Amino acid sequence: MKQTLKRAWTVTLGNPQLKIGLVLLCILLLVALFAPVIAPYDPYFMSDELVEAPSALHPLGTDGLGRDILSMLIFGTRTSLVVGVTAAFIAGIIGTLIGGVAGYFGGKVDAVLGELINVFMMMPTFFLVLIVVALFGSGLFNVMVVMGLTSWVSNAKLMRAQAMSLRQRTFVRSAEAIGEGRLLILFRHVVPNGIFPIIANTTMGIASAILTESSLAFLGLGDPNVISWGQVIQSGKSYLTNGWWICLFGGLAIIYTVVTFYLIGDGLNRVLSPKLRNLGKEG
Amino acid sequence: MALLSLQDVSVTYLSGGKRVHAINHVSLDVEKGESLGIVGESGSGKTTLIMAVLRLLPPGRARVEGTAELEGRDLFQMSDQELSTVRWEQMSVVFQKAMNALSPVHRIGKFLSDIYRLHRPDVNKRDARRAVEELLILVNLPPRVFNLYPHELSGGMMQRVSIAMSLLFTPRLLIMDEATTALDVVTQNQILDEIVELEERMDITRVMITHDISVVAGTCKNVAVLYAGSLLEFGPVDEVLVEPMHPYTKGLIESFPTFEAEEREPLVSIGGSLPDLVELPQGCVFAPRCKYACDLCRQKTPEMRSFGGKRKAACHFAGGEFHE
Amino acid sequence: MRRYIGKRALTGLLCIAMSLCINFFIIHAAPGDPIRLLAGTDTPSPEMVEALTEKYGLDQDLHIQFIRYVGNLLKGDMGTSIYTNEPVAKEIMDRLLPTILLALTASLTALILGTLLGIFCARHVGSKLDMAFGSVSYLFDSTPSFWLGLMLILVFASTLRILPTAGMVDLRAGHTGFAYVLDVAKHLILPGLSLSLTLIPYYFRIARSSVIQVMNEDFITTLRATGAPENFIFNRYVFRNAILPTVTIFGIQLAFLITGASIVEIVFSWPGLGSFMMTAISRRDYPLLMGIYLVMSICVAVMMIVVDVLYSALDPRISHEAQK
Repeated sequence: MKQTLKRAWTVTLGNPQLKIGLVLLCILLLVALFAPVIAPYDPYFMSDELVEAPSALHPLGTDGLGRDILSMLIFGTRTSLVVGVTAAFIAGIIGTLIGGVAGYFGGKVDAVLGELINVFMMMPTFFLVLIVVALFGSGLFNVMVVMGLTSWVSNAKLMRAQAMSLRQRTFVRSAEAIGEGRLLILFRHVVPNGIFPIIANTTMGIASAILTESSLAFLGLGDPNVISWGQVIQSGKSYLTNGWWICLFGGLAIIYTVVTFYLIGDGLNRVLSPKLRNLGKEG
Repeated sequence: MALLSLQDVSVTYLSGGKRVHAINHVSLDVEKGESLGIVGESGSGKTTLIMAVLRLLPPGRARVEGTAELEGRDLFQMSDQELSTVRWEQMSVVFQKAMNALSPVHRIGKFLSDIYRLHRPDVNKRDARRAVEELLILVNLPPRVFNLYPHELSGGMMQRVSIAMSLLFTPRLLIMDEATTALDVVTQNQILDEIVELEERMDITRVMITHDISVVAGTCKNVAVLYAGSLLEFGPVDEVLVEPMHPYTKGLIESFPTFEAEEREPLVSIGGSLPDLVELPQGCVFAPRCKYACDLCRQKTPEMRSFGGKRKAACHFAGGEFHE
Repeated sequence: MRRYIGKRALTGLLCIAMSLCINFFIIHAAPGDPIRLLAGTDTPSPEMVEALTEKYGLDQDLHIQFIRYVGNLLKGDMGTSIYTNEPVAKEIMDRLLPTILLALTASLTALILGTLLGIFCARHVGSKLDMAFGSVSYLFDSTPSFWLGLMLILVFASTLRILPTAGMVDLRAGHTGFAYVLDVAKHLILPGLSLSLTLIPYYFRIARSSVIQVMNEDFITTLRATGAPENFIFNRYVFRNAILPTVTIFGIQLAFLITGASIVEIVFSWPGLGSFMMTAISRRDYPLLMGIYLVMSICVAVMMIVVDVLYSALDPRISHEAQK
């Protein structure tokens, strides 16, 4: 175990994307964790200084209701992280299950699930999310679950391919020969050995979930009871000319977070896939 | 004058600040009409050596030293312009993975006639097609292969296409990199026989890389034994394979099954593995795995010595007695 | 080949069928009375209730309701917009064209620029420019298009005052003929730019990695060994092979952009399906909402099939696999 950790550490240091991504993530986590300590104001507090330009008092200015932008962005970190991680996690689990079952069981099961995957690939998911949130209410829970339920397809494709190749491997064959149950083999051998690309993909999924959530909030379909970056931008839209800072900083916060998860996901992909690591050939 | 003459050729790969000494001071001559087989385990540097001769190593990542003269002209010093006239006209190559040797989305005939017209710009499409079809017939393929895609052929057929391609301009030197390894034994033997016959007919000299000694025994005049980037033994096939001078050659032969059932001896594999090419051992490269190695072997690198005729070997005890 | 396309078409049909089911399911599972949802008011008049009940068979069993729903759709009747009282199908068709115009412009721009940049970087891997473009592509990939749109408005429209920020034409000017086209083009710049800037990284990365991958293929080594110049190799063989993944991605991405452009449409008040959809949401115009969703699904499915046909025409391997 200790050795595995040590190896993971050296691999991490050897990959610039992963290294930078993890540093950025640490900052993000610290901000989310200590939001009440760092934030200069209560993010809900409406002062009399409406649409105030950045100053010593309000480093990033205030919005149309006199709220401090910096404090809103700091608390918004929590929303983004919770939504992103939960939605991607749901998508990861569903994708692993469907893809794993399809790839490992094969045959008719695979024919049906494979077609399901294809059909979901063609679904305009963003619209589906829009409609469902519009109809069923835009609470944070709804938003997370709907995003999770509609974004599992890429995970399922990856897991299916993994399971199909693992099915041929000796250790899976021997487990079958011993007479272990198929479901048991799936969860004990196939899933743990094929999970790595899904981990990398799920990290990317966090990034896109955060983007989707901010889009929803920007359209006014986010949870009105929590502070989110998309909402900050939406509120700044009408003050674009005389209060550019509201939109600008909200967007920068989104970019920062999304870049973080893209970097980690890309780094993980490179570290976990030997094909990319070694392009040179020798005789 | 030798057709191909390698003098003191070394190749160093530069990867991540490390220097991998893939080929070390290899010198050998290939005389006209005397096909050469280069044998060695995988990782011994066979492919690197011929990729260096073909000037196909990435310039940024590999450093090539020494000289490689094809009919007296050094390939390593040639300008790109000169090189492009030598390539395929005088020296061509058949690679191991014939399946991937042609563009998957172009018809085979298109690929071959493109190369033909590259070197013969005056030839029109129809004549190029005729020339390519003749070659296909020469390697026992139906001319309709011209209109097919690579994925529509079997491995053996694709290998024949690769060979036809290499014969487009009847080169002096034909290099084959494990060209028949991926095929089944019957197809392999068939193709090898055909190549030997074509060679004689077209006056082509072949250099062939393989890890299969039986292939060399059947089709080559001379053999060169490569180990960890160093040439250990060289000489006529019928002498080297019958009476190896280097302990490594001996081990290599013993690790291979013989076809003659009567003298079947137990197969012996060579213990240990290839040395780290980043830091080569002091002394003889084979010493760490050699059962006859003594202190001298571990300290001093043996020189390549001649033993009459064409025979050469790089071992302190070659030509004398080995003591376990 | 035909079988392959048939199979993909089946998937497309299944996808549309699935959208139908989801539509139907959503209407019935949504909180509140379906009649109120369909009528768009909490206090529908008795005549309205009767008309809707009759039309959708709301007093019948669920499966009969579903059949009614599908039957209406097959007749081309997607219901009537609650707000405008116009047939949904007509309303949607009016808005589809501007959306396709925007999506196509943005996609093509991104395809061309991204692919060119990607090819450039692939041919200069590891150079400073390659790394710079690589880093910038991360940034644009992470940028929400609606925010980029706002920033573009801030710079080009509010500060520099050189481009229009809203709508598709200047209605007051009443342009006709060529002036009209020019006016639309001018209105297209900012929304098109904010979409394509976020798409360029996508094409950039695909082009870069597939060119690098193809350059490492064995047949490129073969071509180099034949003495073919780099430009010849690239123009005739690398490009054709490397462009294949881009073709697939382009179709899929364009299909999704027809739905994904919605948020940028809203920022720029572009009179397309997306902004129409938001209006439908805010007015709780369910028949319209369902209609838009269905049309979007059909667009995506059709595009997917078109892409598959195109791809199998470009890559001979596909039709071959399907024959097996």
